[in-house]
Amino acid sequence: MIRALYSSASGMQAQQLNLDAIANNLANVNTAGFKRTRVDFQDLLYQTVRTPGTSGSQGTTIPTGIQIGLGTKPVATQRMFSQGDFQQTENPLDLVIEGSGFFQVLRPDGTTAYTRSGAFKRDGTGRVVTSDGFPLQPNLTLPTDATTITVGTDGVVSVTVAGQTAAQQVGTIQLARFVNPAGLLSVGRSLYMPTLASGDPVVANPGVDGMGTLSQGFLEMSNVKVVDEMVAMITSQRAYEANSKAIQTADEMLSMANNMRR
Amino acid sequence: MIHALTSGMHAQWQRQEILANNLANASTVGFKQDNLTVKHGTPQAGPGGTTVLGTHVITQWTDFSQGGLHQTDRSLDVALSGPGFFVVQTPAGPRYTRAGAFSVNAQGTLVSAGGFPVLGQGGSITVRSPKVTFGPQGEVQDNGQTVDTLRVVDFPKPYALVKEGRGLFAPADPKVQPEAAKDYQVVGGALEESNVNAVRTMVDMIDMLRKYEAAHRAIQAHDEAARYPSNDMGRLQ
Repeated sequence: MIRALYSSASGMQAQQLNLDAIANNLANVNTAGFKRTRVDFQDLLYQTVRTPGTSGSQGTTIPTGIQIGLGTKPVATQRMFSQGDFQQTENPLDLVIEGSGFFQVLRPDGTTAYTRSGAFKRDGTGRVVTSDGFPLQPNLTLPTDATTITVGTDGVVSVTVAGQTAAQQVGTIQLARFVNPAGLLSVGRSLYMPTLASGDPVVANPGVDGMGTLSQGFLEMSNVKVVDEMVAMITSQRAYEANSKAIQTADEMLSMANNMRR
Repeated sequence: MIHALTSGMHAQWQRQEILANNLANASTVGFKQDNLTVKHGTPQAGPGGTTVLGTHVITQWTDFSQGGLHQTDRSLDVALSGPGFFVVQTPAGPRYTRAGAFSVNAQGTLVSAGGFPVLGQGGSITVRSPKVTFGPQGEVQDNGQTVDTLRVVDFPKPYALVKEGRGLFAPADPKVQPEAAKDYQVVGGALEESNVNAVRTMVDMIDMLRKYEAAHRAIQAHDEAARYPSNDMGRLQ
């Protein structure tokens, strides 16, 4: 019976974790480049009370046996890297990646992080940085007197400066992709870090080698779908409730057993 | 008599443990619910007529019915519609699962959520591009090119399979070899939900609790009756 209590408790904990993920998804429904997460569960170990295939009492073979499961456990928080919708912003440094790939940015500790959020800005020196001021890699500096900035689908950045009509190339934005993007570690600020599971980054120009292409003047919206999250929230809440009822039932049974001797 | 009743209580107790595990796995992809039926054993002739002794026949079975398919829009999610199992390579040998939340590891190998390689016709499957999709017969398409076909196997019915946890099944008799599955369809971008029916499980739980309670009350009544002769018999007023 204690097994039933713990199995149900594992079910309640699982649904709590599920709700944590749903809540975080909903909180980031307007976060550019956000990728929603899903919690994957597996059943826990089984205690074998009677092994199937062994001999029964009268020379018969037990066909199925008795196995009592011990509940559930979360196995992964799976990040879903499906494409988010595009929102037109007309800001020349808002970029989206159509297809796979990540922008590379340099963190203050000198490590390279990866992001899908393409809301870039210029800092005081003309360097292209993220909203947190982390410079885009490879470094891209725009002339301070640049009047128009054009980013091609292949990542080539050209500018025209005041008083000139001819555009000049100032650099190329490169993208990185991973064999297993779901294996990336989320470090907040819409940034991801590579891990052993994600594999090493493959860096290439946009549109080359399976990399996505760039579009200027758009932002990739969060890929959270509010309706889906709401449905998940309802099923999660009901499953939580059902598990709590199983605990109540087990408790009632234990209480009856305790009151057997009056 | 009292032992027959306690064995009845014990059987319901075990049933509750199984129902609790079912509910705990209401969100587990590819989970198949268990069920426990309790029947009275063969009545044995006692001195005062027929008495049912504490021989409850407990039968546990796993309900392998199809779980609902849930569209996920994640290309590495794959569900089986119809009978059969995917095959994964574990350190203990091949194991069988219906949980198709697959991933690609850093080496490009297709793996299950537990990290075990998923087997195709020619062993484990390696993909190169980020665009992996599955065809209706389990064809693994790597950037449009079919690189392998998922191995989908089945066992003679009724299934004599044991659950190993982590969504894995193994044949109860290790000598049993799987056969190729028939009449199945592989659905890419979807997952098979747990087939736990919450309504049914709640009803089962009520049924279980009341049977447990009945046995409990019968024990109390029996105790009451037994107390009378031992305490009051032979006492002269």
